[in-house]
Amino acid sequence: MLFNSYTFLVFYAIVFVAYVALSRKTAGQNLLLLVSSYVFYAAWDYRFLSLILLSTVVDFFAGLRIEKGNNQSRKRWLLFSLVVNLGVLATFKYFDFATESFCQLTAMFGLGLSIPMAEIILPVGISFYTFQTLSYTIDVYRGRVPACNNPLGFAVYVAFFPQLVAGPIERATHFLPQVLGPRNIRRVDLVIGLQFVLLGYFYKVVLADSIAPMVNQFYASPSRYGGSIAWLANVGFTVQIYGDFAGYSMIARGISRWMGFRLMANFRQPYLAASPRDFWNRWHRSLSQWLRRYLYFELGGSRRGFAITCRNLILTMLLGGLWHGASWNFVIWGGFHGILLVGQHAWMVVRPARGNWHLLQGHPGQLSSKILRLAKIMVTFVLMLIGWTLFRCESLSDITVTFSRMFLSPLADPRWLSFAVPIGTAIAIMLVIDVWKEKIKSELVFLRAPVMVRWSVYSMIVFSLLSVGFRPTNFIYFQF
Amino acid sequence: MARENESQLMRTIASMVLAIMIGWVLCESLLRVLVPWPIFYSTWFTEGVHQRDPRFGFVFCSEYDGTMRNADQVWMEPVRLDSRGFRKPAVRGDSDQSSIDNSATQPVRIVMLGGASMGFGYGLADHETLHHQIAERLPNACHIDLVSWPGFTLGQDVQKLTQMTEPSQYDVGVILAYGDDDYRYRSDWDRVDPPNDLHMVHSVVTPRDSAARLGGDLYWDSYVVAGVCRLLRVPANLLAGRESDLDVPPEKAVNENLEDSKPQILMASERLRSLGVDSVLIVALPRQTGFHDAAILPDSTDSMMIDLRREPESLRFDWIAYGHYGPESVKHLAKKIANAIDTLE
Repeated sequence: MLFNSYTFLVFYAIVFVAYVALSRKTAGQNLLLLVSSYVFYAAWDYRFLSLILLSTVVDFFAGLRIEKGNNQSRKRWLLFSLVVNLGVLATFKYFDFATESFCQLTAMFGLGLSIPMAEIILPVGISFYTFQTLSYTIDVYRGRVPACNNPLGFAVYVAFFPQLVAGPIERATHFLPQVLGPRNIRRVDLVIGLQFVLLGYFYKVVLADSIAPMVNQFYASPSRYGGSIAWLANVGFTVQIYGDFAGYSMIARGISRWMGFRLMANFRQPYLAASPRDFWNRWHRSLSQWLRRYLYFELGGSRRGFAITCRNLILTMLLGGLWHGASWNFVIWGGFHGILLVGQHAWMVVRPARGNWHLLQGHPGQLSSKILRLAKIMVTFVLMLIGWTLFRCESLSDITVTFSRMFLSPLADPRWLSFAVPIGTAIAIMLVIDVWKEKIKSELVFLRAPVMVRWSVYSMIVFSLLSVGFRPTNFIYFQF
Repeated sequence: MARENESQLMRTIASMVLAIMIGWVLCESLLRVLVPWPIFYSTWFTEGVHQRDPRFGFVFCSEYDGTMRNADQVWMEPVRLDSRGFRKPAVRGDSDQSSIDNSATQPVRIVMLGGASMGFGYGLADHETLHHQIAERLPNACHIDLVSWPGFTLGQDVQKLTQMTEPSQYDVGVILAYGDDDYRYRSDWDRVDPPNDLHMVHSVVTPRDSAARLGGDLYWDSYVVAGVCRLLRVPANLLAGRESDLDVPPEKAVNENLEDSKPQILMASERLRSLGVDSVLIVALPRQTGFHDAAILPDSTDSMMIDLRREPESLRFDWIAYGHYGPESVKHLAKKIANAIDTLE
């Protein structure tokens, strides 16, 4: 059941009416949310509900045991939770990839082992809810959150349908109290939720889905296009993935807000980032925070010298890449970002020795400072675009062909204008909204605007949605 | 006080109406840039590709020089049609110029029909189409004419063959089977009824669509009206007792299963033979959606058949233009078909 389907609209309307009818009955609302979440998930494949149930039961009891146990038993239960969750993830997501890679490796050494693939279907959203439940047990172990003794509430925390299949990956410290406590549906939440939902659908259905066919067309056979279209298609993917994922996150936040929940903001104007590190503070923030807290810091972070820091950055980003999918292009993409972060780290270490760098930067507000910031944003954008090319390509040969088209092929291609106009329009709209958000330092851009502007934009969005309709396109991040 | 409230209410309503109108204008403007209108209305070609025709309803224009454009995608592929409106024939000379056998210099004349847009090579450049790729792979000189057109049935293709070409000149006929209808039994398989309500947008025929009927002329002028009509067509069809956009449910028209009838591909094969085509090859083509129908290729004594419907399961196929064969897929298919033609010769 996709957010961008009429089935989901009907499903949500029914759930919402029932939810409102159960006002002030938290347990009743939670029961409703749990049942509807399971129905929502079962709409994809009911068999994989068993994995969510397994994760829920294991982590619920592990949390209680960790809290009450002595030092040794606490470690054992944490290890048990890690093994079960990561074991399920490894089996369902990485088993075939590992087998295939092993066979290829043996073939390189002339052994040519042939191990049959298990052909395991990837359960939707498994990476998201696995990381969410893992954060719970780790936080309980560290004493950051008390163990949840309400099984119903914990099950809702794991399976809450608005963010079950593509995040944001909520930490128990932030989300569990909202699930366990009473919730009020206030007018202001409905108004804010409306902006999130409308803007989310606009990003996904109108912008991302309109650009997607051009991108898909290019990637179907990259060798057939010239350099200009290769660049435009990759800018298109940069727009598409942002519209797609940020759109999903906004819809998730909006429909949650209508029910009184506040999910974390997964995006903060990512293409206005002025450095790779800044980008990861703005893009898929729930994942980057998870990786930082539970992986990077565990490895030692930046406290053990330059070399260890570089190793930690590379390792974290490689695993972050692998989290996205069982494919080498994701590993390469992660490695690419790791190298960028290492480069930035090295620059930060070297920079003070260069002395006069700060003079070029000028004071905030000065023209030179603004120009420098703009230059940084543009360089970062191009780097991210190169990263997205690695992310989008389906094979190593596609990566080679696409980069050769981008950097070695002549730019002239007579069809460039048919790509440039829609993609340029979409990215301009996104940038205007993001710059506006950055300027007012708030996501509620339309709520801060005059009423006429707000309602004109809202009606434009509604008319656009009616015009293009819901196309049967999945969200990109559902596959992770 | 009451009057003040009333005027406040009127102001609010006026503001809302104005906001809605601005929103409508913004939407129409934005979508015209984001989704160019011929693509929004799903025209597959640039303007001027079709013209009305009393026999078939419409035909492809002769010497058309334009571009194919996918219904939902913003891309263009140039296409040129010949004097009959067909894609340019694939001509290949004999590679062995020193041959002393005169018959070897006489090219094999082949005609391909059926398969609608898949046979036409929708989305592919001339040299990438199936008939050009087959010509490249045949060992001897050949001349391959392609009769297939997007939107035309196998029966209509046979009618085109008889009315627009001289069938007896062909040594080999290749029938491409793609749609479910091609495997079905029909007594009236080659009957051609020109549609009465053919709608052309900028000389491009658009598929019959109940949404367009709902919106009337406004459907073609406004994205919003078109979008609302598309949304309403499902309940409208339900109310009208239609299951789909087609007026006549396909089962009534085509699934006759008459004892004295045969599947369309066999009927077409027999017709080709009776028109003087020396030998016939029937090719069952694969689909992007996989091998999902249980249609079994019928037996035939006077034509050869090859079933390529499961090819994508073993070979890497590429798909373009929403489910049409990409260049790599065509190469795979061409190799198999060329081998089969070679054995026929």
